[in-house]
Amino acid sequence: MLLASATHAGELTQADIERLFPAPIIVAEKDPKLNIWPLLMRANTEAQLAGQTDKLGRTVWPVSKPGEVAKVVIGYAFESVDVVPVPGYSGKVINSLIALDERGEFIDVKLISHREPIFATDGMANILLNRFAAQYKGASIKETVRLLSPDVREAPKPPPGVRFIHGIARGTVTVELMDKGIILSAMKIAQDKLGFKLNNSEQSKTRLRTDVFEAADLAALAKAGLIQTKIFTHSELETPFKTTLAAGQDPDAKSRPNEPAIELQIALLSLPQVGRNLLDSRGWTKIEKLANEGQHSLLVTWRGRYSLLGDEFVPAGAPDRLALKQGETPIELRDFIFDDSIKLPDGFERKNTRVIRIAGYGGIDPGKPLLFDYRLKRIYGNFNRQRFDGEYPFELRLPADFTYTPPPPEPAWKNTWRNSVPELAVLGIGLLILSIALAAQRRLVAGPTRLNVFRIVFLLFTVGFIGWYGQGQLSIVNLTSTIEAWRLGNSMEFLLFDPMSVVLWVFVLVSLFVWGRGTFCGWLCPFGALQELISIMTKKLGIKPSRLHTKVDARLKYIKYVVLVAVLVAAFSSSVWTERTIEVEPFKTAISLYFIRDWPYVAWAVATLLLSVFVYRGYCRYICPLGAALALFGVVRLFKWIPRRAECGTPCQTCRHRCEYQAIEPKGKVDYAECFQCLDCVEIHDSDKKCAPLIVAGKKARTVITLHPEPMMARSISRGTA
Amino acid sequence: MSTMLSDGRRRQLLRVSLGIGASVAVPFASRSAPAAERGPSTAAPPGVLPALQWQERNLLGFGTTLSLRAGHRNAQQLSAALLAAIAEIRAIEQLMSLFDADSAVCRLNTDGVLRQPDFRLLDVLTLARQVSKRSDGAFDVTMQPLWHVWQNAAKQGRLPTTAQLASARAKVDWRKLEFDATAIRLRAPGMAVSLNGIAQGYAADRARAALLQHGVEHALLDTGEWAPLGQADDGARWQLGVANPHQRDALMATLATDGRCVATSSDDRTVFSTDRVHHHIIDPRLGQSPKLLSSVTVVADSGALADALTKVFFMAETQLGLLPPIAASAILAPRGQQFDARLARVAGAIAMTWQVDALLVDKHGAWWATPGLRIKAT
Repeated sequence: MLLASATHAGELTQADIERLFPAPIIVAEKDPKLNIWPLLMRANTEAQLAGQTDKLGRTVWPVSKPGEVAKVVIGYAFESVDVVPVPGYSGKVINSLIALDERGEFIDVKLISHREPIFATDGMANILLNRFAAQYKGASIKETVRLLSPDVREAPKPPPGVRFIHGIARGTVTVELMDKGIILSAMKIAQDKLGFKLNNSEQSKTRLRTDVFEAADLAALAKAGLIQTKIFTHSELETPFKTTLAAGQDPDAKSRPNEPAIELQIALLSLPQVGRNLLDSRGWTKIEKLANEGQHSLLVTWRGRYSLLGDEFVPAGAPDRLALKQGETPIELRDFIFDDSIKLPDGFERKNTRVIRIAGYGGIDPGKPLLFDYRLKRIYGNFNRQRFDGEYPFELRLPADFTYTPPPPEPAWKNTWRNSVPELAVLGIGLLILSIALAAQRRLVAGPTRLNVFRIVFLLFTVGFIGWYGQGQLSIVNLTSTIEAWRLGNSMEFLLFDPMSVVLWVFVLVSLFVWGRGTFCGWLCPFGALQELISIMTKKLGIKPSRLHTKVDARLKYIKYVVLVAVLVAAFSSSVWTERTIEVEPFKTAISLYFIRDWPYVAWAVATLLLSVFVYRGYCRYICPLGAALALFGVVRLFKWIPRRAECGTPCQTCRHRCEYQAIEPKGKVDYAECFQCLDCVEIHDSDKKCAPLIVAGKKARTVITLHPEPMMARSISRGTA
Repeated sequence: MSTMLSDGRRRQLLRVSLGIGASVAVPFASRSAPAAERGPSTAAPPGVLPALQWQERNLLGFGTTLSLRAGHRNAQQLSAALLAAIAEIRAIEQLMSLFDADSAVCRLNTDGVLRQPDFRLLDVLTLARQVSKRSDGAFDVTMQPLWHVWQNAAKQGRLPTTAQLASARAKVDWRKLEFDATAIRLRAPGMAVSLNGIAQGYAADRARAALLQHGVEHALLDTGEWAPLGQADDGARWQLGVANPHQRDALMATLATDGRCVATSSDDRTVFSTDRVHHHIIDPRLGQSPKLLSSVTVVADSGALADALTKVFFMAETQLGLLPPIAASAILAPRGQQFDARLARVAGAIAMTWQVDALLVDKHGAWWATPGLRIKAT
């Protein structure tokens, strides 16, 4: 890291940045790790304080005076060369100054320096490139930047998420590479400093195997694929020039087209198996030290017509004839040697061998091929000289034996699950018992008190264990935060951090298919259970909930859908409004926070509980957005599991009147979207004491069997009047 | 308890507001010129010595903005001193940051052991142990597991379950953090250390020492906690404006510094519930946030001690059951009406134990301070 910053020392000083970002912006000290200058401003609150006076009537001057705090970070300024140095067409880095704000928008971009040959004689170059850079102002790193061809005068309307930027005539390649440097640097800072999660998962986790070493000679290394050879024939070198004016400059291309013209040998010197075998220990120490800092080195040897380095090469500079990419990212190459301090291995000569450093922070990804470009240029004409370029791509892959990909780290939620095993076990048993009971509903309702006892015990379990202890209250928040995560492109992983809720949701979703929403609303909702337990007590005290008129009830039931729509609209648009609208749900106050909260929230939670005393489960039936959502999801229900008779509705209205949820229509049909699976109607249906048709049938039976012996009669009668 | 928070507004509580009341608090402050017009050169009589040159450096550290302002007659010497102070702050952050997976504290938390620890870590841990011991664990650097549980629950928009809290509490115990010059060890599985409640104060101490070593005698350092040195630009004492913990854009009082360090903790930093009942200051023994106080400012010779003690004062409410046998008049200042007298008594006893001063603000905005503070309500 130190060395990286030493060799890549940015060009600007603190004073330069302060000039570029004058007051009221405050330039903080350069972060030595990320090589960025935080840009600060005094916060609003401080400006507000400025006008205050103290008791003696003197003005308080917190802003104009030194040393005060409340500065806020407005962004970060950095040089692209310090972050992701991308070589330009010349092989030398185009350095841009980038300022990015906390939201990932460009505050400004400026050209600092370049060595691009196209513009070398053009005084306009800096002006043009700066004009190009200025177009980034206001763009976001979340957008895709697309460069328009210089010919395009008027940019078309960009599709959403795309930002068009005008290119420069004669500088197409240069601005492309400059763009790369700007975007890659900005993305890196956004990820490292701003915590953005960008979807450029280009970097795999593959590492070099530094632990493998066995003595090997050149032949063995070549055989293992660690020294690779690339040969270009004369005709191959001629190919890119064929259609240009510079065609035919090489007579060998005609006379011996298939003979080798250039031979390159490349080895990744920073791999121990290569470096330790080829270098002496002093040389290897140097290479290894650099490699530990993320910078790899290549040993490159060339034979044939052209030097790899080119005519303009200076030691420690970039080789003219070789360029490197991985994926779409150009990677800077530099000559390693300042003082010839590395002794070349036997059989290699200084005149055609160089150690080349792969510069830059990210280094290389050993899991991906190294995409090299061999480059030649030809000049045509004596007076009006024209330049033609030939590029010869080839790739080098590291043998798989020398790389490894560590398994991804165990996601953090797994540990949460492991710790929750006991609670999940209890929950599982509870759900199993509930499933069995509900599946065998006819048995559950058979005894006179069996259903009531089971119901009270289970509701206590729901409110106590699932709710207050296990914090497993399912909530509309589960839905809104999922929507928000999707909207903001965040990971959904957070859902898994709450094992209790996950298990309950799975159970509830399955139960939607079998029984509808009632299983959750009637049995597993802690706040619902709390209301019901309170109702049970208040009924004992003689307070009977009143029953709303069927028409009023039917209309009120739509309110919850309106609430749901409001919550969903908020979830799809604004986090602030989502946070506000979900407070309609008293679950958090009553279950998560045990009523210890600011009084308006507590008041609302208590109000909803009180409501249920007078209007049975009023919140659930009329307001609850989660209930509304589950009622809608409930269309997937497969069974009409509530037994009915022909007499239900016409003429019998017993169940309808006894249904506290008013979920049975006058015609006798059950409205499953409103059914809370309390099983009261099932109990009535099966009871020859409660079900009117059964009672009638019982009476009929009695008249028919008048001739039965007396004791039986007596029993029938006493039963009928019980 | 973490004060090293990502919340960038960490340091809004204390603001410097120089000049206010300076002419009253300090006899030699110029009374003739209005505060706004007073230039830096008024600090020294003209013609005697060259005027002080003032420089300000800002940096990001401990998850917030830090600021160093210092004056010296030689600008070059001043720059060198500030650089040294910044280097010291950065070094401490690199040792003690929880954000940096390579920091010494993070490695300790991962491996359970840290060999050949830096002397600065040992400094801080030694002080932390003393405070833990004498405060009966009200301050505890091993409470990271608790903080973790609260933070995780907050991420899911709820509070931690009783079981989660119990399991985290079981991992908190300053006695099981062992250290000597050769190694620091966590003696129980699952333990983790956070120095967030003390590192900023320690950084203030070290940065101030660095300035003094370079001959700088006038400075105000804000490392998240405050260390004043000498005098301000206008020749007066450095004045800190104490912001109202419940109204960020208002000052509650100004505090004339006396060369001691000033540290503040308050309940408005990272909150786990919107009503601030649950926030980042957590009682290591109970796993819950204290209920009575909203903000605590401690003034002590050492920034690290002041920083750690803010947490001890916050937990004072747990001692209301056994009031210390101190005459209330000895510690009760004639200000701070409506402030719980019993709480003031406990806090006064803590202040006397540690020989520090403190300013306490309760949840209703009533405040109380020890008599040693030069404080003015605004």
